[in-house]
Amino acid sequence: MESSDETPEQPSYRPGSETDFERLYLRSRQRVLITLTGMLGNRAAAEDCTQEAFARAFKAWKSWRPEAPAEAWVHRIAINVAVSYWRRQRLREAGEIVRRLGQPASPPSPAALAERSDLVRALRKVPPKQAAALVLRHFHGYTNREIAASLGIPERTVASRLAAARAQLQAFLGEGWR
Amino acid sequence: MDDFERGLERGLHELFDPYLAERPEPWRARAGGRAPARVAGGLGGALVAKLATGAVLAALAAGAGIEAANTNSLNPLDWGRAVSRQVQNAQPGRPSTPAAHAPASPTPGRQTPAATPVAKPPAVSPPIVSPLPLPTVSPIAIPSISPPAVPTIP
Repeated sequence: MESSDETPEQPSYRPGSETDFERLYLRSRQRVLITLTGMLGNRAAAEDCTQEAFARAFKAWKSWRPEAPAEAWVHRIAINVAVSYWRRQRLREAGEIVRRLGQPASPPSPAALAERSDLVRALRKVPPKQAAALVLRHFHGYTNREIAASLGIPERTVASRLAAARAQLQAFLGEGWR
Repeated sequence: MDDFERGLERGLHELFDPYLAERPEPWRARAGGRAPARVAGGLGGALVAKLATGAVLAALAAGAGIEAANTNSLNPLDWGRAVSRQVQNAQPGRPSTPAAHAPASPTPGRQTPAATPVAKPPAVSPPIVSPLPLPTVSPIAIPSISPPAVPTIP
C-alpha cells in the first residue's frame, strides 16, 4: 500500500520502509527540534538530541505500529533522549558549580544570550516532560491522545500534567507576563 | 483558553516559527553515507569480489591456455624454456622485417623521386630468420559412449 489513504493530518507510513521514514523525517524533524529546544532551552543540545532520536527511531522503525501516530512515536523517543541528556547535564552543572566555588563566573556567550528570552528561561525551570507537554499542546496543537503517546503516560493524566506545567510556568513568569 | 495561554502560544510562535522555515537536509544525507557502506560490505561487496576474482582467474587461464597450446605442454617449465629459446633465436641488431626500420617520410604523399635522395642500402645479406616450429595441437579424443544393452524380457 503506497500511502493511498494519506491525509494532511495523519499521513500513512509503512513500518520498515526507508522511503516512508524519509517522509516522516522531513515532516517532523523541525517540530521535534522545537519541542526539544523548549525542553532544554539550548538549540545546539536540542539538535544533537534530535539527531540521536531519529537514529534510534530508524533502528526501531520496523517495530513501529501504525496504531500510534508516527510523529508522536518519534516525539516519545526524542523526549526520552532529551530527558537523559537533561539529567546528565544537571549532574555536570552541579559538578561545575562545586568546581568553580569561589571563582568569578564567566560571562555567557552571545549564542546563549539569544536563547535566554524570559519564556525560554522559564521553560528551562519546568521539569522537562512538563515543558514538552506545554510545547506539544500550545505550539504543535497536539490532542490529549497524541500528548499521551509522546510522553508515554495514560491519556487521562494529560490534563492534570498540563495544568501542573502551566501553573509552574506561570509562577516563574509572574502574573503580569504578557 | 485564557489570556495566559494565548500569551504562551504567541510567545512560542515568536520563538519557534523561524525553525519551521528551515528545511532539514534529507535523512540519507545526514545518516552519513550509510547506504554505500552497506552495499560495499554486504551482498554487493561479495558480488564485486567474486566478479573481480573470476576476471583474474579467467585472464590467468587464458594465458596458461595460450602457452600450453604454443608449447604443447601443460608444464609451466616448458613454457619458460620456449620463451628462452625464442630469445636465443632472436639476433640482436637485425630487424625482423626490413620495413619495420625503413626511414619514414613525414609527407609521403608529396614525396617525389627527384626531390628525395634515395640512400643506398648497406650491403647486408638478409637475415635468416628461422621460424619457430608451430606446435600441432591434437584434439582431445571424445570417447564414444555406446548405450547399455537393454535386456529383453521374454
